[in-house]
Amino acid sequence: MSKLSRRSWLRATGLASAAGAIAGAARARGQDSGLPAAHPPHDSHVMGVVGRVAPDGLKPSVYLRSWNFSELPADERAKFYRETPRPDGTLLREYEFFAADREIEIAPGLFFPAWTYNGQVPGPTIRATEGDRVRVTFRNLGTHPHSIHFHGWHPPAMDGALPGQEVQPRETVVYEFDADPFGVHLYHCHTVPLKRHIHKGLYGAFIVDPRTPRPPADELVMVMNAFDTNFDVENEVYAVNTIAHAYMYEPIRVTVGRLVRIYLVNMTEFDPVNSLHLHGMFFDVFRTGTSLTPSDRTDTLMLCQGERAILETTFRYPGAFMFHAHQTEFAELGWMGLFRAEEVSGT
Amino acid sequence: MSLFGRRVPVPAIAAAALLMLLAAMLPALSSTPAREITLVARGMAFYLADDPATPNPEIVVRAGERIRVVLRNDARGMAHDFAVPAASAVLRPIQWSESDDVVFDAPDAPGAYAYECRPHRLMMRGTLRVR
Ligand SMILES: [Cu+2]
Ligand SMILES: [Cu+2]
Repeated sequence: MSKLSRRSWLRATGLASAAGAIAGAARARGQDSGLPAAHPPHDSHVMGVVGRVAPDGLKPSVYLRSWNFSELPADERAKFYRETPRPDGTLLREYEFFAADREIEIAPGLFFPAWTYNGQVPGPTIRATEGDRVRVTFRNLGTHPHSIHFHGWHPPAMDGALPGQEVQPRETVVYEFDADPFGVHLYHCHTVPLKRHIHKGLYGAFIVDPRTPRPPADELVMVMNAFDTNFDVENEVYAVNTIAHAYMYEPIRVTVGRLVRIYLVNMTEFDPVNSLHLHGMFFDVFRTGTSLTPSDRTDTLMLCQGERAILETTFRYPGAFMFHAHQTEFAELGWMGLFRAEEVSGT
Repeated sequence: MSLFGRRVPVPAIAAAALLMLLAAMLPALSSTPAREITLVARGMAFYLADDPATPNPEIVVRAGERIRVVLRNDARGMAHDFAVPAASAVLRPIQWSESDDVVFDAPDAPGAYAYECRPHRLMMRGTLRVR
């Protein structure tokens, strides 16, 4: 049997055509300020996935603004996250993590046999302040050995990646380290074969805030990821926060004039680089988030595997603003979304 | 086929045999009614169907009592099973929105026994209390 190209794979599964996504874009444009679109209209292209996934699966719009299990009601949250003040004014932050196999819907009707942290892809976002102690209890409820390897300062015993540090199914380990340095980091499984374990869904964002907080902002977590659905070491579905085109159907609502801060992490496997391009705007770039001074101002940022950055911008105009990978193939296969900027009424 | 010198159609014999078999089984079934307990799997825990607030609840039974556990899986995308190792009771892994049941006899010795979802027993595990 001849090897299917990614495009023919999409045709074969009936996902190619983009009436839905285009309609979303058109709707959004119809309500904006009336200014011409910053880019030529996309309606003439054929654009990837049609329709929406079932509403009771993963929720990219909730994931976007959640960290330390803040999306859960208090009693449920207490099962997974506790914070305890320490004498020096820092916090002990304790997390309950588990690995479990779960089928997730990554595009309408397309289910991916994921390996997850806490049932979700990306895994729960961990957020601490520089100097806090982070303690993660990790239970492997999956069917394969896994681990959690955090980026950031830590001694080798806490690395999770060294020989003998795999956690066997039904074993429990505790990772403990100080949150350092401030910035936007990541965590992921580090069991071989590594690219398989990562791309199956075992990764997440690890944000460390500076002791003097960054200016108040509307903060968003975006993990660029992709899925090899037919195990040919190529991705067929691309997204930010797992579900193809999710933010085309549910645009990210932001406020004109208010600072927006994006914690952007590239967890794409198999493709060496990914990128984010924002229409009609520019943003400041803080590479790895380890400086308070921006290193760049651009509208397109390329990130290598495992690379990440903080982006800051302020919407000047109301209306719809597209963002997507500037690898147009990735964009068409799901990595595309919309911001909807609104003016605050009464100001 | 002939029976006592008369020819009898085979289906009639089969039907009679089936009736006799059912009649023989009836007293056994009715003398050991199983107490039915419905469990729901969701959020990496078991819940009693009528108590959605208590994860992995203690289940109290009498020594030797016949129990039917009905498991419903409300965890989208995840497979869960149910087992009481001390009673050799195992319910096959079921997918989201499926239900299945397992019938077993509680251990004869009073005490605390474990019930669990085998793949997720680090989190989905509770006590079967035998009185
Ligand atoms: Cu793994
Ligand atoms: Cu289970």
